[in-house]
Amino acid sequence: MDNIIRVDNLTFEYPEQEQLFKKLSLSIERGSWTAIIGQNGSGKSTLARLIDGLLEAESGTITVDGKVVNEDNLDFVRESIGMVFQNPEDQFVGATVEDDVAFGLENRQVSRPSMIETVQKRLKDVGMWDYRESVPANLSGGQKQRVAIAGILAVNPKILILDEATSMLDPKGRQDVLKLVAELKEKNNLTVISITHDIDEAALASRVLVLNRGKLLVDDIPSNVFNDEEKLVELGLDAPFTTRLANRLSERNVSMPDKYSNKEELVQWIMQLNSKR
Amino acid sequence: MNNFIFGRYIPGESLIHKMSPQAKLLLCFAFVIIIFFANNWLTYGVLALSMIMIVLLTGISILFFIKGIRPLIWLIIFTVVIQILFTESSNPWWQWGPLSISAHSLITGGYIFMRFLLIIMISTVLTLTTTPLGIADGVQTLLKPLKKLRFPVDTLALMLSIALRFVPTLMDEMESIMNAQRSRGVDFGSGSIKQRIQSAIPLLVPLFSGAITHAENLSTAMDARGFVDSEHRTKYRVYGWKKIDALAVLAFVAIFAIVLLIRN
Amino acid sequence: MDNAVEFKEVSHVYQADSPMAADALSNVSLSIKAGSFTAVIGHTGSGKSTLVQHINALLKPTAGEVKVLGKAITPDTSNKNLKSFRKHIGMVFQFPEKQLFEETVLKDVMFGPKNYGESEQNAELLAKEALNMVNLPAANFNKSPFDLSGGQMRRVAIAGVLAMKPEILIMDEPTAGLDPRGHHEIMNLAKRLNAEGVTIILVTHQMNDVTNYADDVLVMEQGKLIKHDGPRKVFSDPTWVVDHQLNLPDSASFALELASQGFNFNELPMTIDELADSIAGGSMNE
Repeated sequence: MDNIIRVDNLTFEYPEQEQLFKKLSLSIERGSWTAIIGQNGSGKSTLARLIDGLLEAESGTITVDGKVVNEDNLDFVRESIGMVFQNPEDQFVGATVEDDVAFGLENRQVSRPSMIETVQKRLKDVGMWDYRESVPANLSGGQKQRVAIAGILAVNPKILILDEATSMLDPKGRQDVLKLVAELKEKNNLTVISITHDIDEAALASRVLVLNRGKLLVDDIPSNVFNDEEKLVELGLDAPFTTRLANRLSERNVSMPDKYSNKEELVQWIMQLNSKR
Repeated sequence: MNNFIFGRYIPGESLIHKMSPQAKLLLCFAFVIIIFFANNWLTYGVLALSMIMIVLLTGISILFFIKGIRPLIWLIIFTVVIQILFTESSNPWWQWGPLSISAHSLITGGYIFMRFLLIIMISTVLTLTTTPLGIADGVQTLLKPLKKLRFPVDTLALMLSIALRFVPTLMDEMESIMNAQRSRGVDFGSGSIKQRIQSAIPLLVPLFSGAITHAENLSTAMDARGFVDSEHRTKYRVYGWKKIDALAVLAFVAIFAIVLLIRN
Repeated sequence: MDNAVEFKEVSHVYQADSPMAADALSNVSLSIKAGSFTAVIGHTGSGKSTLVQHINALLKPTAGEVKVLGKAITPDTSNKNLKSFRKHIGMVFQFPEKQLFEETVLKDVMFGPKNYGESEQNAELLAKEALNMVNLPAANFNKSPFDLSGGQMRRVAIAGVLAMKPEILIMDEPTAGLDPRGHHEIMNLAKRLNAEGVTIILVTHQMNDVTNYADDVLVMEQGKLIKHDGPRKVFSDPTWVVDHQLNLPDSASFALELASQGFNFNELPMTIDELADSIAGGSMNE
């Protein structure tokens, strides 16, 4: 299997806090969409920051696209990974939309004509070209996150990490951003890691990792993870709506499939049951 | 929401908007210097007329300019009153110890008032028609010669640009913190001086702690986007010297010449 | 039942004297019953926050009259008397942890009661009671609020409002950014307070919370109140809901999916249990 990220025996703790990661190992396949879920304080965001070299591990190694994350390879790592953070306000560096998209290009000393071309292309990709001269104060949270994504795509990363990128958005902004990410993933052949506590966002992934106090509790396909309502609640998370509904129907003696179903599947199941009655 | 004009750029297509920021900055300084050459009603009249022309040229509603003056009104009144009372004159209309009022002191007070007004107006023209980034870039261009002396011009410009970009964010945050503390029973701006200072603490502590959080997050985001240092970067935004800039300089030279001719 | 809040033809224009003047509320009349759990919904920028800030006199109407707990606020009301007006109205803002400032958690929660004239001892009692209500362990009382986790800071901030014993509690998206456990804790707290007689006014984007907790709903759009009804009535017309760029609660939206395939519902289910009951009962269009 071609793993674009490998974490081996990672150990890390914040000063004056109990140990967070103790010999954590995991890997992420190239081109996959992985959701990392867990409640606040589970270490999800810390893991992302370690992978991007924004924090330094105590011991263990992290490899990104074949290179070990360390001081020497930092430029390569930052080039390979684009991160969208939680607070839309705090990652908008430029004074206007187009300046912000250009920020990463300026850092990499891209020539001006090529910058102008890339900024236009990426802003069109995220549907924000019409807002190119807007200042951040006049944009909604969802629009700011779309600009952030344009700025990240401008430098052609291979990996996109969403670090609770939708948690401060309203439902419309959240839907827009997730739809955009799904589209861009296909178009640009990205590896996506979404760190979230929104179970509906996690459902978009092909693989789910559950972290709890720095430990990797579950590593499985979504349907296996989402089927266990009790376990999810115990971990401080919510089960998807369909799982909760299926469980309530079981309690009412309606026979249910023993695996997780998404909305369409559950609708079909119920309609079939009903036609037999 | 907030009545603070600083850092609030009003987009537009006027001639003034189209000027390059470094030219605007330069002429803004030049205008302030010219103001100090004015010393009679005629010279102030010429400058006021020029100012009105400039404001009209921006195409921005006069209300924005009035809003720019309002926060400073007490400072202006205070200075003007001090000027009137402390200007000595041989034949005062009224005198009390060192304080006096005379025709002469009233005129001096009027000049001071005009000076304040003109300086505020010209700097408001600059901030209303130039994006914060434009101002930062203008400063950077004007300071470029200092680079030879190893002065960190680019770093300064980036700092300035980010500071300006966060002004509206922090203003909104201040507003919401004030509202939160008001609903916990704080009465801002009333009571004795001591009470007023005390009521600032519940505002300033959260505001600073919020600013620090913004700064930490922003620096993480900048790192993640490949920022290493501000001296080794290319520039997306470039402002060249334009025809309109040359015209503006000519107009200013003309104003300056007139002021020199008709001053006492 | 008495009305806790009454709006009579209330309008609010932001920056009325400036070129940026914008209608934030136009001609809103409404009443909110004492002891109700009222949800305020509408998409971003619809005037929800402006509306609730009038209830706390953080904004004064530019026309009309707001009456809260029997006291009136009009455009002519002097700013001097607003403090006493606010005494019985608690307001939890979006991301309320931003308002914390004291050296210790306990002191921060005591801040509100002390501003309203409670003695040091009384304020401490009220603060401890409020901190217990939000389930903050006593071991944290003397810590700096800035050393707590995000979720704990949120609960301290809410305790700081509860310690004033509000009769009306306004919450503006109190669970934004929290994980599911934090979300449930805060919603259940609101429910408990409501059961004890506190009037709850909740601004939210979460339609599931509206149907699970609220008994009255105000729908805002472009500064206007476009609907004021029970949650069942508001969501009973899905076309209307979608036309106004609102979402349906999960249960109603799932039921509609079933209905489109021929399942027959007597009434659109609003909660997951209602939905399960209808499906278990089962019926098909002939």
